[in-house]
Amino acid sequence: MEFTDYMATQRQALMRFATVLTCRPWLAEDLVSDVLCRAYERWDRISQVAEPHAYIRRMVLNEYLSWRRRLVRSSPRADLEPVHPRLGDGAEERAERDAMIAQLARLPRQRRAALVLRYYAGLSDAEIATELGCQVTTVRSQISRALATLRIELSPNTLQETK
Amino acid sequence: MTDLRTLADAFAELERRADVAMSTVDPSKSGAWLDSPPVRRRRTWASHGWLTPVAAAAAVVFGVVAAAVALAPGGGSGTQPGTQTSTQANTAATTAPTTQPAPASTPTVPRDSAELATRFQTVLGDTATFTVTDTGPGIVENSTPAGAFLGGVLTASGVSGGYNLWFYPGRVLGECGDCTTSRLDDGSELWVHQMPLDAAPDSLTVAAELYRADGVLIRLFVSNASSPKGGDTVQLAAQPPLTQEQVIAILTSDRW
Repeated sequence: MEFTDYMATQRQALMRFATVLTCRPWLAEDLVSDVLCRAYERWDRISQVAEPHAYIRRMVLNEYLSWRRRLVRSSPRADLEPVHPRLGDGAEERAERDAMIAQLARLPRQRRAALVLRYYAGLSDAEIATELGCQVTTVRSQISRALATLRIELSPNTLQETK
Repeated sequence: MTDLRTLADAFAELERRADVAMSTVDPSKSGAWLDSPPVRRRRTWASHGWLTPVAAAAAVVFGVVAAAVALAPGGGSGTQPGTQTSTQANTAATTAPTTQPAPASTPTVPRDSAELATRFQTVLGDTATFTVTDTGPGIVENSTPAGAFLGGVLTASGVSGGYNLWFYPGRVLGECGDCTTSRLDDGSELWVHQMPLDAAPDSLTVAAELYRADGVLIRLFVSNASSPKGGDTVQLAAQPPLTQEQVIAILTSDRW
């Protein structure tokens, strides 16, 4: 796969993943930009791996986990607010969704990454453990704590599927 | 209590915000990306064409250039003994001054990392030396690389630390939550921030990003750790080899 082909087909998915991971489009764009520059330089090698997108997604994840930015803002948290607030039906659901985004953004980085990898990227606990460089038990603990913080109650069926 | 549907809704909304962010600079909507007018850019910047990829370089040490320099030798007490002049000040400001002298000339974007390294040494003068262990384009936008990037270790007055330097046709990417911003006389915008690193205790990265009014972006991160961004990094000194004032002076230098 050529780098141009990768960019054409996967950049949006990469940007979406980074935004879900960081909850901040501006930070996601910065991360993705830096990662793509490095990927461009190493494309000869990256294009040979079985799943280049998974590889680059891991680069984004590692970049995010290794960065230390103080995210305290003195201005209103504009990028955690709805970009186009809408009036009308579904206001309660939107408020609940936006509150969830705000809570997600406050999760510790590692915990948020584990949650996103399971419920957004659809990875198994073993795959998540590989991505994060930790034990499977740690992954489950992190996710359990994240769900508790977000006050998410899993149905019995969901509990069965995630084990 | 809530359930996973709310989490899924949150993910979907974040995806939508990502798509909105991408659509503001989508070249298919506004022509070539360099001609698209992101919010704070003043003028488009002509592309210098395709960047010739630079292979990953072995460490190259750029020696002292015996030229007049505008920067005072920097550095801190560090863990390595180093020579320090009596004129050195080793205080890293936590906020940038509200007014800054504007760069006197309009620099062209470097063709590649080798050119950027030459320019960097010219700007540094005899303030510091640096190695180059990582190179690449400054940015890759829609598969088009532009500008240049350098990474390595910078040494000033016997104090060493990792650095990253970017130089490319730039645009403001949005807000930087922990930055101190100031507007220069020519309309350029300076973002200054300091970041502790998770990976190494007592590590610190000082960073400045100059968004020039003429469409050029220069970013310099300098750390007392081997990598200014953390990750697989070790602490090399008690403080970064350059102060925040020195980093700002480098970015606003007219020697680029």
